[in-house]
Amino acid sequence: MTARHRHAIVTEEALRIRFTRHGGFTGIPLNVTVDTDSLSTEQIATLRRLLEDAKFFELPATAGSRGADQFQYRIAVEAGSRRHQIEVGDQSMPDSLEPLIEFLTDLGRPSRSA
Amino acid sequence: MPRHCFLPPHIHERALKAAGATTTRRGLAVDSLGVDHAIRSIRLGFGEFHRPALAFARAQRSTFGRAWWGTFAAAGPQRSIYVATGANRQRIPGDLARAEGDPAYGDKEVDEAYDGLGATFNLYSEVFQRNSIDGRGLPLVGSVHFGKKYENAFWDGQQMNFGDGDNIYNPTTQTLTPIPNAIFNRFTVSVDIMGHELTHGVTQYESNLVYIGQPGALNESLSDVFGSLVKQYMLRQTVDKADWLIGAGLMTSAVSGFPGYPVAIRSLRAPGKAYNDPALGGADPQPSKMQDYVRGFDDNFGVHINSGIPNFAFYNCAKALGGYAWERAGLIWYRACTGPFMRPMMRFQDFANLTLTTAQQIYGFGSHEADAVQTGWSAAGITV
Repeated sequence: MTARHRHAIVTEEALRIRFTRHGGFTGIPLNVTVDTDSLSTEQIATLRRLLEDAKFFELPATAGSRGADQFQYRIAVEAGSRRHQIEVGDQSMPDSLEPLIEFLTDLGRPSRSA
Repeated sequence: MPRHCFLPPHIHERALKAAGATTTRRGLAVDSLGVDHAIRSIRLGFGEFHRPALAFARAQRSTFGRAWWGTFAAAGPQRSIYVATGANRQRIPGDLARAEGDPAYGDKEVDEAYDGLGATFNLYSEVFQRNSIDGRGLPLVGSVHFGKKYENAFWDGQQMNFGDGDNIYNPTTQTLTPIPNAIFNRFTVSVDIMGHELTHGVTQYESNLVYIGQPGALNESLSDVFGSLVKQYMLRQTVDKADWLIGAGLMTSAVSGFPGYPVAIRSLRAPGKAYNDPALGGADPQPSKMQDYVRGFDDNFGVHINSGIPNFAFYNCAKALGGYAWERAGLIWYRACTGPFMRPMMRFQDFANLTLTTAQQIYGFGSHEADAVQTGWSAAGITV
């Protein structure tokens, strides 16, 4: 099996993400659930890249925040046989995670306009 | 005075950039920026004289010294408003846009934050004789344009941060462009938001109410109560004239509410009636009575939901007294939450009892004011 072939198998595994943003000054939560079937191939490819860039499966499960009114983000990912869930705050998230959170938040926006 | 306090801020900036890999180091750099900022602002206040800065540093070392400094540092607020920087616009404080005494900057968010922090300082200073967040003239720092399309404002333990809501900020033209189907306006739009965030700072320096469950909801309620009082005091509104809303104008006209109730984030007069829109997940979930306390895991066990209960108690206490809410109801709440009997793990009932004894202490047993406190808590389903 060539390296390229192996890569193809990994990127085709089923992906499911449950994203919740809670807390914040408004206290109004934002929930997004996406999987391989509900998104375009392009969006799934972007998500896989963002997960990889964030080294998502190596992130610690929780990171606390100080202060008040900060958003808390809970991200649960199932990718093939791998599962991982993290909970971070605005100030405790690693920089590398910010693009993933921005992408997931944007996915949550259009559904509100219905 | 250790020399490292006077490192130019761009060194810290560099440390922040270098610290991209680890959150801890980034946190440390942000911490030292805060301290450095405090010293710098004092220096700004006295022009180019360095001796007052030294006196300030020495004075801070003892309790007596801090009190002594507080007596004549009470002149006015020491505000500085920054614009957050970085690829994700989360580098804070960022670039300084407007320091104390500077003319209007021309950016709506910068100027609204500057005015809002000023209005909050005025309420605490003129009504409660409190000199800034810590009672000792702490400089007020705010960063605007925080994050991208960031639908929030928060107190991070050191300073206030304000997002653009559903707007895209263009740093070159300094303008905001709403995204399609926008729900949230900029988070500097309402003065009570600044009052709310700054009060989190006051609570941190006073009782340090734990940010979870009932003490957390009490922490949130104090921020709503004094946030609303900032607006009422600024507009010199009586109990009947005030809107008792938190975040009025924060949501766009696309958001719907209950018939006969104005749209906002929260309402102290009518918890649970601030909004009603499927785009926000339905109706405002705030209870107004203890028997409807909402149990749930998210939002630190519902701190922004159950704050409706003590909020409703305060509104009803103020309503029973009439006139200006800050004069008596506000004073009772302020004395209670900054007094020696306030504790970090207080629950609603504990705080209710404390407001009653505080009212009795100020106005006497059986006074009209003590009765009003009981009336207020009773409306929220709590007997004192």
